[in-house]
This record gives sequence, structure tokens and C-alpha cells, in this order.
Amino acid sequence: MQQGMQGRVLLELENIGCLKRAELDFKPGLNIIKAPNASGKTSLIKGLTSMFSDKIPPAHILALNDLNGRVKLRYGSQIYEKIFRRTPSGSVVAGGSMLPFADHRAFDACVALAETGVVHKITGGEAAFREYLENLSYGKYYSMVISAAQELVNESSRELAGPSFRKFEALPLLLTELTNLHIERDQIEERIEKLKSAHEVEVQSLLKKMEEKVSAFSRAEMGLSELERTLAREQEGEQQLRSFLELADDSAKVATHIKDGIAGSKERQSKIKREIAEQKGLLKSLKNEVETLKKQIEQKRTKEVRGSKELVREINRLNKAVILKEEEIQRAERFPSDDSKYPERLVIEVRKEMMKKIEWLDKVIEHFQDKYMRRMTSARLRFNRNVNKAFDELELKGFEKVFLDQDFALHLVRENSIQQPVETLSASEKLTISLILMLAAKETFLPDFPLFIIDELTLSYDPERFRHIVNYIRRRVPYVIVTSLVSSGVGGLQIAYEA
Amino acid sequence: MSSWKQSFEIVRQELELAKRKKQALDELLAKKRMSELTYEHLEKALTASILDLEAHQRSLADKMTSRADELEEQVHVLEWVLADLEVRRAGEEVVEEAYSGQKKTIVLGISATKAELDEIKMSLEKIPY
Repeated sequence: MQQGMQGRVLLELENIGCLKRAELDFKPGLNIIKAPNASGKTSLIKGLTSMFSDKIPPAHILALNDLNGRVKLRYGSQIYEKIFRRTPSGSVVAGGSMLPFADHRAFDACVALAETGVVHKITGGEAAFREYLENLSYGKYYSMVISAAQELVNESSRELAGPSFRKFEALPLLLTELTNLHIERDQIEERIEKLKSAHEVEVQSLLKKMEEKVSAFSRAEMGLSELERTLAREQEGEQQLRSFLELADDSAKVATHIKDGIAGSKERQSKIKREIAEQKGLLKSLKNEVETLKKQIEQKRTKEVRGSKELVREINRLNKAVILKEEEIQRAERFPSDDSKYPERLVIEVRKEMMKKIEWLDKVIEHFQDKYMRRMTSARLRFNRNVNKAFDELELKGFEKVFLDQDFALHLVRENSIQQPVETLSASEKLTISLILMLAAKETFLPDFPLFIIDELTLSYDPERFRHIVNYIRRRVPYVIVTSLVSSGVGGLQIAYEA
Repeated sequence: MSSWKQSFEIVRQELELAKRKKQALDELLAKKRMSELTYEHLEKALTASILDLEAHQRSLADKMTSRADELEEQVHVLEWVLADLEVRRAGEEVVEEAYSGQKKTIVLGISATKAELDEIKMSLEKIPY
């Protein structure tokens, strides 16, 4: 880094926190700011932090009763200034320039503020460390992309479970219902056909019967004519015999023969007449039968087939049901016209588009998950290396190994290879490990950042160990700024330097 | 009903229903009650289902054909055993009582086997290939 004015950094503060006005001159090495309680140590740190990170909200930096505040920093030959202004609505806005090496990550890796919970980082469990390394390694951006893509997938999935899609998914079921209606209709049509066939068989049988009767009638008529002709011939024969009898008066023998002939003819005539009468009776009966059959056939042909009326009614009902089902199917394949997103569009089309989108998003998620895993694994391994390097170089007794496992859970292994839960550490040990982890984070992710700030962590802390750690940090970071509480006898902020 | 016959009947009915569905689907397209896209989507699934059912039916038919061959062989063997029994009876190698009992059993076996064979053949005739 460039260091002008023999590497000095001049900081001017105005209306920052409880500080009305303060000027501080930082030098390369250790800068210890000594002051009693409520004299502005944390305000000073917040003001300085605002020049390279916007993690602390402006409203937490500007003095409560002031409208304007200012942080001015001379670094090398350049001056950087940040202005804080309270708006009429009461909110605080900040503007101006930041340091050239400003990096929002520096707040997490280079500023050990008691109030931001440096200790909480190690007691926060695996989620806290994952988040910590996500922020520092930019893995957060990948996880944000993954979350955004996942949210889009979820949104599309929710949409795919909507009513129009559900109706579309029910199409195979509707098709089955339509097919069942077709089958039912076919079965009834078959029954009607059977009834009609049976009816036609009955009509044909009657027609055949009638034909037989008509034929019998004709035969009977012919028989009657024949009998009538025979009778006429017999009567004619009798007449001839009678005329012969008149001529044969004197011949008793001949007359007797003729009389016998006449008697025989009469007898035959009587028989024929009886037969004629019988034949006439038969004819009358046949005529009646034919008439009856004719009527029956006529009735069969004009009347509806028995039982078909109900079946035809059923067919009509089924035809209506088929039309309704077809309309239901037609509706199910499209979005309704009043749909806000896809009016009248085919569901299959939209579904395909959404499936394609989900497929693409899944690929994005897979791609970024892979990148995220690689980045986070690399970040964790580099971080672990720097943690162990710090432990080795500091020669801190008591711990053999400190590392984050693949689930980002912190493991503390004592010299006797026994794992110690973080919660069981003493307050002093928690601070030591917190500082070392922070320093390892800085070495891993912000190796060139020139500042390391420790605010009032000396409370309830072993001064010798603290000094040991601070000296270690000083060897790696150009400017180390530490605030320290002193008795109330000392007035204002006093700075002590150690090169 | 034997299990193979039950399976065969179920597959036959399902196949018939699937083919009727395909027919109904074709009608919907012809009547312009359905778009080409939706038709293709449903037709694809239906055709796959028909092909599956046909494959299942073929596999059942193969099993049934094989069973029919077995039964024909069985009938042949039983008829041969019956003929042998008749020869032994003619040669007075078997007493009348034993002959009657054995004959009854063999004839019963032949008729049961033939009945099963006929059932299988009737079912196989229903397959359109």
C-alpha cells in the first residue's frame, strides 16, 4: 500500500456518535486509543469503519441530536470525506468518497467489535460459519443465484399445480369417462339392433304364415271350382239320363237302369254339394286367418319395437352426455379466456414452456451449486490452513488443532486429542479463538487490507495473551487500531503508538 | 378361473379399453374438439400403454402356448397309459377291479387335461395375431 506523510493517516470526525469533534493521527504499527467509558471510542471506530464499509447504518453513526456529521480521512496524499445528513423525515443518509481499498467484507474480517459479537461467530454454530465464509468468499452470490433460481422453480411448480393444469392432467380420466359413455352407447345400440332383428324375425314369420294361408286359400278356391265343375257335369249327366228315361218308357229294363243312374248321380251330387259346402267353410276360415295375419303384420310394422322406446331415450341421454364430456375435454385443454396470464392458450404449450424453464433452471442450480461447493470448499480449506498457521506461529498452548469440518462446524481439538465443545471454553479462550479466526479470515480473503481494528476486547481478558496476539497481528497488518478502557481520570481520547 | 386366465382376461379388457380410448381420441381430433398438440401428448401416452399391454398379452400367450404344448403331451401320455391298461386287461394281466379304478382315474385325468387345453385354445383364439 502507498504510505504518504511517513505513512500517517489523519482522521477527523465531526458529530459522530458522542464525539462533537475529534482529530486522530494513526501511524503504521500499533495504535492504542485509551479513553474512559463513554468518551467516544466506539464512535471513533464506527466513523473510521464507514470509510471502507457500509455495514453500519448511517443512523447508527451520526450523533443523535445533530443534523449533519462528517468523517474526513487523509490517506497518503489524498483526502477522503464522508458526509452524514439527517433528512426532515428523520432518516440519515450518507454520501461522499470511500477509501480506495474499501470492501464491505472488511467489516467481518478486520473489525473486532464487541457489539457485533466476535465471540458469537464461534458460538453461533455451523450456520454462522457457513454464512461468514459465504460472505467473505463471495459464495453468497452463488447461493443467492441458487435461491433465486430455486424460487423460480418453486413458483413454476406452484403454477403447474394450478387449476388449469390440474384440469389438463385430468384429461386421461375425462377420456376414460368419454370412452365409457361410448361403450355404454354402443351396448344400448346393440340391444336396439337385437330387438329390431327379433321384431323383424317375428314379422317375417307372420308373412311366411300368411303366404302359406294365401297359398292354401288359392288351393281351396281351385278345389271348390273343380267341385263346382264336377257338380255341373253330374247335373248335366242327370239331365241327359232323365231325357233318356222319357224316351225309354216302353222298355222297363232300360228305364230301371236309367233310374239307377239318376239315383247314383243324385247321390254323387249330394256328396259333391257337401264337399262344396265344406270347401266354402274352409275358404271362409282361411280368408279370416289371412285377414287376421295381415292385421298382425300391419300392426307389427307400424308399431314401435317393444322396449326400444326406453332404449332410444337412453341413447339420446348418452348422446347429450357425450357432447357435454367432449365440451369438458375441449375446455380442459385451454386456459379460460379470463385467465390473467395465459388467456385462451393451450395448457400443453404453456406446460412445455414451463417444463423447459424448470429444466433450464435446474441446470443453472446444478451449475451454481457445483461452483458454490468448489468455492466454499476451497474457502474452508484455505481458512483452516491460515487458522492452523496462526495457532502454530502463536504457539498457543492448549490446542492441537482448530478447524471447520465439511459442514462448517468448528472443531477444537485439545493437546490430548480430545474435542472440546466451543460452549465449554472460558471467556478468554473464546476471545483468543475469535481473534485468531478473524485474522485467518483476513489473511485468507483480504490479505492486502491495511487495517485491523479491535474495540475494547481487553475487558476480562488476559493482558499478556492479548498483547501476544496483537503483536502477531501487527506483524501482518500495517495499521492495527486497538481501543482500551482506562480509568475516568484520563481526559478524552488519547493515542499511544507502538511501531 | 385359473390365475393365467384371470390375468389374460384383465389384460384383454384393458387392451380393449385402451383401443377404445384411442378411437375416442381420434374422434375428438376429427371433430376438432381437440388440438393437434394435446392429441399428440395423449396419443403418445396411450400408444405406449397399448404397446405395453400388447407385450404383456404376448408374453401371457407365449406362456399359455407353452402350457398348451405341455397339456397336449400330458393327454398323449395318458392316452398311451390307457391303451396299455386295455392291452394288459385283454391279456388278463390286471384284475377287473384294479382295471376299473385305474381306468376311471386315467379317463378323469384325460378329460380334465382336455378341458384346460380347450380353455387355453379358446383364449388364444381371441388374440388377434
